[in-house]
Amino acid sequence: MKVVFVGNPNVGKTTLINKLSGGNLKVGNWAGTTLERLEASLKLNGKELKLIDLPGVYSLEGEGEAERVCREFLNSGEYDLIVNVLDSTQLERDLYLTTQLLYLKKPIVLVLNMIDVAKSRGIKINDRLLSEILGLPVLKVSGRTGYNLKELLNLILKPPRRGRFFNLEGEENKFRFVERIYREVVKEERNLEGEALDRVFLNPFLGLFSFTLLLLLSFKIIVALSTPLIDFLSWLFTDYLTYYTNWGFLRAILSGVGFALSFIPIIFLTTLFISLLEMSGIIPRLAYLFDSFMHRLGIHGSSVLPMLLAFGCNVPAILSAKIVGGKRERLITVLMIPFVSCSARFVVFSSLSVLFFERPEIVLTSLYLLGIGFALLTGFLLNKIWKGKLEPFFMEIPPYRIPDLKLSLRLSLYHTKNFLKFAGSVIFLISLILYSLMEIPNGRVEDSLLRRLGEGLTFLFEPIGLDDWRITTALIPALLTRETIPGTLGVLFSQGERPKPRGLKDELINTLKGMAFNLVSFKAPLESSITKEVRKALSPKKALSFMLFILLYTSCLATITTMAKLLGWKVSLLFFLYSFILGYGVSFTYYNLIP
Amino acid sequence: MTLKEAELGEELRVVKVEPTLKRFKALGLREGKRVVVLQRLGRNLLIRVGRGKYAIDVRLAKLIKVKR
Repeated sequence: MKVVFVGNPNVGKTTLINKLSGGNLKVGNWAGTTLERLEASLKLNGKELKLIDLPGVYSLEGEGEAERVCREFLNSGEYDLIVNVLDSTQLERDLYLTTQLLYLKKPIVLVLNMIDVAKSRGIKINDRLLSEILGLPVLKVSGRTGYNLKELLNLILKPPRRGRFFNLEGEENKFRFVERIYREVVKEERNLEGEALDRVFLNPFLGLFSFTLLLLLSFKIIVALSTPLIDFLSWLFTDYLTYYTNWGFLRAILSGVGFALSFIPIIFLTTLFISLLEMSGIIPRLAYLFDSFMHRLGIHGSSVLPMLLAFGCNVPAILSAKIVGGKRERLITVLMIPFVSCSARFVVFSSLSVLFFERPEIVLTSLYLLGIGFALLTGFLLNKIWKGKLEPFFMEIPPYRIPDLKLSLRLSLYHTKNFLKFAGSVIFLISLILYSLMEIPNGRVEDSLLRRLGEGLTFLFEPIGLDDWRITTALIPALLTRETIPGTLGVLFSQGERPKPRGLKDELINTLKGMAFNLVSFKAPLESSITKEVRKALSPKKALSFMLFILLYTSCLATITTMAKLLGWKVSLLFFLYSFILGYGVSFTYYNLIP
Repeated sequence: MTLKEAELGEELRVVKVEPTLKRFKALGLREGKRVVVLQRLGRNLLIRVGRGKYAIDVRLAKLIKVKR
């Protein structure tokens, strides 16, 4: 059975599908989170249900990409039931689409989502009367709290009902019809919820200040909680377990995969924070605040949305640039995105900044802001090269919503699992290859092929302070993705004799103490033997130079490929070259010219 | 007068929306509806229509006729 979810943008269709199916489709609190047809499936009472998520539209008549995708799918008739999702706080607006869906003469279930929010705002909906008027089953639900979701599944499985047919030719008749229904079924008290928050987040100074503060505070919490855990896992894999392992290749795998795995706490917490932020409604407000400024770069404030998504991962951010109208604006936005630090870079930055700096959260925030600065510079340059006229700006500002912690946790776990898979496959393979290259020709690292390869690259990277062959070697697999850097460093710095590690119990107690201590004051250097070796190989200045290079140089195959799909290989490879020159130039300037 | 000329906080009634802005009608910005200008920021106006808030370029606001 195929069930298609249709509704206005940002009414919670994807959240409902995720809750019903246990899926992990992307959610966010702004119009345009879903840009193409997505699917999730579940089995219920022996029946296979396919839940189809369509992009949100206000009307089926528009000329945009979302309207085209919706219209084409709905007119194809390749589904059994329409679940029309409506925002209970915006019923008058959302019912207009319902009047158009009635014309399709397909079975429809009307779902009044966010009923908990409507209640808290003093909105009362007579669902029985609405059902009688339209001749359709109507159900009040809340995707966030899970209210009535079981009933929704039961309703989907019941014999389908088509709605009454109303002769509503022309949009004016449809509007009048909707207004009449709304007057009959909805009673509301005036409630201006969120106004106090908007006084802060929609104020050009307070808004930007609050967002920066929020970012800094979040980094502080993420780094403080995860550093002792990273410390413990890194010690467990690279010191404790390897000490009791005699096989060289197993030690290489434990060091490579294990060192990469030790960053799982930071990946989990970062994706959780980003997911909560995406659901809150703050991000689109930034897009509005930045619009006038972004005009100077020849783009709209709406380009801020994909750029902020890039904090999680650059690939979906580039894909979401489809919401930016106009070919020129889209190109500028896509070419700005790779400078925004993703979670992969966060892994590298956090691992090095906690090792070399006393206030890692300041270093992390500065690197993030610097990345944004270079994104803006790139936009400015592109706007000078490719001049054009901007279409007028229009954007819906969504209401604030309390993020769904359960769903955020599930999405973060999903991303963490993906990283685990990545570590178990790609990093495992890279560790194996690195170990083999270290063994060729005579089993001595000093004479190995890998060392010769790394030293060959050292010639290129010495001017930016990267004179250790192990550091430059880490840049080779990083071409695939930057997440491989800690794993590679793990393999390369794990060579040599190890002292007997401390006891497991003592280390665990230290970790818990560290987590509590870090929230108040930050000073928790990593203590595994690999991190000690890394500290010997680099100085704070060299580490920062390395991080600057990693920040600006687009060392990610997935980003380059996605960019090529959207803009063509020529633009993508030119950008790759530009990012390399920029990264190298900035690191060189910093390392050689700044005392 | 047009929406662009409206004063902050003033509640107005939409009199005419230019045909080029047809797409806004579906989200409530249509003849007979009440609209309030909440903020002016750069080239945009922040408006409230019903329970929804929207940011709209003044070039578009010029195409919407309103009255007190």
